[in-house]
Amino acid sequence: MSKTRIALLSIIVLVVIIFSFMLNVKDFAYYGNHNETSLYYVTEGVNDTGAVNIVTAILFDYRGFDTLGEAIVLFCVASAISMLFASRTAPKKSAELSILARAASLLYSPCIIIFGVYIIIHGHLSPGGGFQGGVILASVVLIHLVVFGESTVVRHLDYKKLAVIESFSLLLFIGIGLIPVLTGNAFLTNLPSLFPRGIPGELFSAGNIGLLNIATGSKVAASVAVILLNMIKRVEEDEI
Amino acid sequence: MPGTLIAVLVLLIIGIVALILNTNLFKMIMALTIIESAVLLFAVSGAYIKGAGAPLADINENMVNPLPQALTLTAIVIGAATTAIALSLVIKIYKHTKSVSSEDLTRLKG
Amino acid sequence: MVFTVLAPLIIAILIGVFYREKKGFWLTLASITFIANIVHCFYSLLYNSLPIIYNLGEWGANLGIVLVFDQVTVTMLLVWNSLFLAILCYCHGESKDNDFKFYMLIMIMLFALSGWAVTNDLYNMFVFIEIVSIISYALVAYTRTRNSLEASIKYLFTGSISSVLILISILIIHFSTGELNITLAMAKFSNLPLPTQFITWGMLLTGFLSKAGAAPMHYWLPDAHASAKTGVSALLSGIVIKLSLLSLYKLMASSDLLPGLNQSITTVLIVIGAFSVILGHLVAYRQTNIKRLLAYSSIAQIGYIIMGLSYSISSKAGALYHTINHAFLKTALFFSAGLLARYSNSLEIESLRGTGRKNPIASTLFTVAALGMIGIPPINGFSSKWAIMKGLLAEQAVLISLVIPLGTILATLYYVKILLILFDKKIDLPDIKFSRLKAIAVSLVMFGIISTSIFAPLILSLFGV
Repeated sequence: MSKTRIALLSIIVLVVIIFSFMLNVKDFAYYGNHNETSLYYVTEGVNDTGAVNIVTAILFDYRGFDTLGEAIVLFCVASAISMLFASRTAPKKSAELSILARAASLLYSPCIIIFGVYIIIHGHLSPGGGFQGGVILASVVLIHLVVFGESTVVRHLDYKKLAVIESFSLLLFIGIGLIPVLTGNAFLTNLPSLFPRGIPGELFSAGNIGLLNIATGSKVAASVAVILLNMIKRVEEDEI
Repeated sequence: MPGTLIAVLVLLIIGIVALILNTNLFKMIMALTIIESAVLLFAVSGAYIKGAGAPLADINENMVNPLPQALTLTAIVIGAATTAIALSLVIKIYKHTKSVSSEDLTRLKG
Repeated sequence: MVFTVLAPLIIAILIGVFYREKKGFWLTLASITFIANIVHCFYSLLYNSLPIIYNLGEWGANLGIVLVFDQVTVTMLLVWNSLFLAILCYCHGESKDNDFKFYMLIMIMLFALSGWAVTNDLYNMFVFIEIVSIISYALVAYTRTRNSLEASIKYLFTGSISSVLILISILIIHFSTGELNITLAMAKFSNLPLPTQFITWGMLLTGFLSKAGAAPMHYWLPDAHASAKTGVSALLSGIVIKLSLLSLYKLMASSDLLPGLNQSITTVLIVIGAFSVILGHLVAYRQTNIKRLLAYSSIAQIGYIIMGLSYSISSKAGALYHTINHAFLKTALFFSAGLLARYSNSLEIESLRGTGRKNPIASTLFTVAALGMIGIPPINGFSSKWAIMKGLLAEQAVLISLVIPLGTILATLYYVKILLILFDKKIDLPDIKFSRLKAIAVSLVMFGIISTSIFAPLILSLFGV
């Protein structure tokens, strides 16, 4: 801890504390209050979109372009990491955990998969959605990588096929968004004529939000699995 | 609400202190994650309204502000993506230099 | 019009799935997409009534995201599509078995740049800036050498801290105005008490200027440019570092600042701009690696753009025009440096001795671009610097505007030095055959320089002078 570092650090911490006391939170009129936009979301969100979960309605209907950008961030990171780690064959036999861990993980993996699919599909009804459910699905891959070792998992899950699944899910997302353009509306519109609204609270409601959730869920699951399968690669036994 | 803001400030300072004083690359990445968590805590805490419930229309009539929650979801994914790339870069650096200390990254002098 | 933004993304995903079968077909399809985008932008500039306001999802400006296609935006789209076409040709000409993920990332970067340029929403802008930054971190580390990994991780740490600062400012703007649309939010933001505005604008300026590579936060830039592939260096230097400055321009153009705040922001921009100009030119003179020299030259040109953003409409128009000019000129310089460095396989300036006479095409491009960077009329570098200087003089900032001619004199020193080394007497050099695609790339960039030079008054009038 050299003197320059401590000096720089104390200056920065002092600046941060002074600035935070100069910023009076009472100036933030909408910190802790509704503004007109969120009042509209809260009162009219269900009628506009048919989704009961207002956060999902904002994510996939009102601000769907942000979600497209976020899905593309994961897609880029998956391709960038598979670009950084060169391809090579998996080792013949990797270390695995004890029989207790292996048996238990085989027991509860189906439950986790069903839970993840449940969260993806019920995104517009209860808290959750495509991103949360997709990460839960990818955590099954992580559990199996840790418990069973890399060689067993790679025999069943090829990351190249997962990359194809990921690309097709993203194309499905963009395709659902482009369908309204064919009828003269804007990109990513939730048209009541094309995507039936249904009754709020049922499974088949909320227009294209359900389909977008499923596309995003599979895309996120595939992306995170590709990232995990790439980062687990080693060259020899005694490296990280 | 001032309690949450004090927590945000404390997390920020912990993150900044950890980022500057540490030389281990893994700890610097963790410090970056702490700083991003502090900012997102600030975002979500601004969504809370006293006496209101979660934004689910069939359960609550009085809902909190759902907009910063949607922003935070996106920002969490972006932060996790940056962490993933940073970690893979650290793995590749270790393969080349056999050390994870930032004191050894002195080849290029900006 | 929204297809101009979405087409690169669709092609990128299709390349990811289908590349292995027929490489040439997909790259040709990508080039056709770029050309179609360029033609569409020209058509919109000439015949459509801009600005076009496009409500995504059919919600209005206060509920959803709005895309705005106006003259500045469509011009930027046109310039970027043509530059990406040139970079694609150059990279494919350099080594035909690039990883297909490289092309995929480049096309997604074009989508993110186009989406950033047209969006009128604060948070959407932040998401696209993050996409561009993450792709640049990955592309700098593409060659996986030790130097490029080190440069990439330094770039990552600096970029992430800047992104955090920008995110805090965006959250403060949202919580104090209640809007996320740029025009609505910045209009309301001017009514807030001064300390909040000062701190927010300070954080925004720090974040955006350190992402742009302005001195004193410039230390990641030469490392990143020197260790990356030539095509990636041209991309970084020509487009990515300008992105944050264009964001600042968008935010400042939609807000009417109070006089005290306006004065402070102007002072900060002028001081940092002048400092970058002088530091960039002085340190560039002492470099021996051609790519580091061009990187420091980029820092100086960023200084010019920052100085231009500060004052009035005419200097802002000059700054935007200099963004376009510098993109073409720096791409030309990086391409020709990459071509000429092939003869001795080293990037040192001394090893480029005599290569100018051996390869007349590359050295002509280098000479024209170097003269443009110095600022010799009629090449476009002169017009943009002159526009910035006229804007500064009109606001009675005479002393500061002298930095621009000073920078010109300093730039002359090192560019002439390189040109003298290039055109030295014939030295024995091996014969290398360059592929036709590289010639196409070189001619595209040359065409870009010439057309922006000829149509200087037209382009400046598009930007509002």
